[in-house]
Amino acid sequence: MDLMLSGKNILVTGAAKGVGRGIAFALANEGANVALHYQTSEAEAAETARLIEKAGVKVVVVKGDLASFEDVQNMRTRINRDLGTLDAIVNNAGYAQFKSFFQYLPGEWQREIDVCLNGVLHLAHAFVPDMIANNRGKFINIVGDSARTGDRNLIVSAAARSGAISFLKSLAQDVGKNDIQCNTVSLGLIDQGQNFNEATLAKIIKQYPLRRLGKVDDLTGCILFLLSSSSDWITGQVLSVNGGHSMVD
Amino acid sequence: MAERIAFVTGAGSGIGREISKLLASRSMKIVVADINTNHAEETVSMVKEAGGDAVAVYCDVTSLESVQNAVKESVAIFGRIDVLVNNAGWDKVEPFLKSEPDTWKRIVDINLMGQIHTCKEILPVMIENGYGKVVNIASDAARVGSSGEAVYSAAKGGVVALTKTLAREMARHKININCVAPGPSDTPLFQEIGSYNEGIKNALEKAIPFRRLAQPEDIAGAVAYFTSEEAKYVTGQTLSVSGGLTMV
Repeated sequence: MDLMLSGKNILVTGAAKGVGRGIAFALANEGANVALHYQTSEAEAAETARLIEKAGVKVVVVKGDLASFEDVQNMRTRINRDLGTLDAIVNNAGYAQFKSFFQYLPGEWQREIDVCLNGVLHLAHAFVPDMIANNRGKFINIVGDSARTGDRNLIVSAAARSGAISFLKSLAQDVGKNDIQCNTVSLGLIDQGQNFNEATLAKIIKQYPLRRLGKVDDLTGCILFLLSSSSDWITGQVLSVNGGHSMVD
Repeated sequence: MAERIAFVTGAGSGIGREISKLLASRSMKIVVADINTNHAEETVSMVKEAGGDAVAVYCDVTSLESVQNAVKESVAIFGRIDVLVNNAGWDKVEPFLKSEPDTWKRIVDINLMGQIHTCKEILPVMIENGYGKVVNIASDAARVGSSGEAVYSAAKGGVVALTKTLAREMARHKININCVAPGPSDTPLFQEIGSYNEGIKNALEKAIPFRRLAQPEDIAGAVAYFTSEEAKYVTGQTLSVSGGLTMV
């Protein structure tokens, strides 16, 4: 099935490894050119780029801190010069601390809000005007299900990402007339080699009706669908890929 | 990949027809289940003209016995059912206080009981074969309410809740069950509603961020995604396909 992504320019953030790398591979396999963003994992980003280029697509590696609007503007300059304007963004980058709220020192939460919420604002402000000018575009933001259901140990990142969900709904209303779709994919726990011990893993899996953790492939299918023309009538929505862990109305 | 068999209700027209055509284009054989066999045969012809395979089967979803017969007939022809799309639906738009019990019964029988009937008959077939995908067509009315659609939105709300519970019960059999919630769509049903609700189309187009009604093929894409292997970790979810009319 041709998803018609061949030749499209797509930015994937946090794409050096893990989920982001899997998404970048999946896009390259569909013939899309990839703007591959990383912040600190330089060696892994270079390796991912090397592997993707084998698919015969263009790759531009861009470094930046999404919390900095200046960095994101520089990313845009570089991408527009070397790849052209973007057709789509998949924002996978995030930052979370795993602890309860009262273990935070005041202000220690700022970085989570800067990356998970302000990072989305920065990407939208820098890149969506090009999409408006082109009268087409797709913006996909990836969050954890904690953003929909709450999680006492992800209390700040969940709040920031919930804010990002709301932001994308409002943005979707604003840019619908320009044929730009803005959607959120919400994840359950994805197996990225965390090496849980057996007892912990058993306890976690019990909470998943499909009785396993997610795989990177489980996620890429949903991303490809939301980037394809099959989803052109879907905007402002949140879709969970979570093995049935939560079923939010 | 094994060739899959899809049972699509209300497949003789509108959204069900487009779903049938799209799934057939993705190598599925289609049971075009409909209460109107002439319409069902038209869909079958369209699928076959495009190089696919389909059969028309009479199915009145409001009758468990009719569903039983349709399922038996389908299994006799194709050997099994891998995919169920509960698309058959109907509504009469009017203020709740003006609506009558006969209308309520018809709405609940078609929209909610119909899906209960097909699940009751087809899930065991899927369990036996060790494979299954169910996509239930709900409605944005179920998620946010809709004036003039009180009983319809209640029935569709029932569909959303039925989906979640069946998703939990069927997860052990690796059967995925999800909902697609269309917004207002340009279908024969909508034309019927428009015939006694002047101005409804213009008003909706103003309210939808994409500034148009859904075409049936807009909905079919989401259904095809849920029936695909790409969605095997997705279950119990509801996805609105509404041009941004509602964002829950």
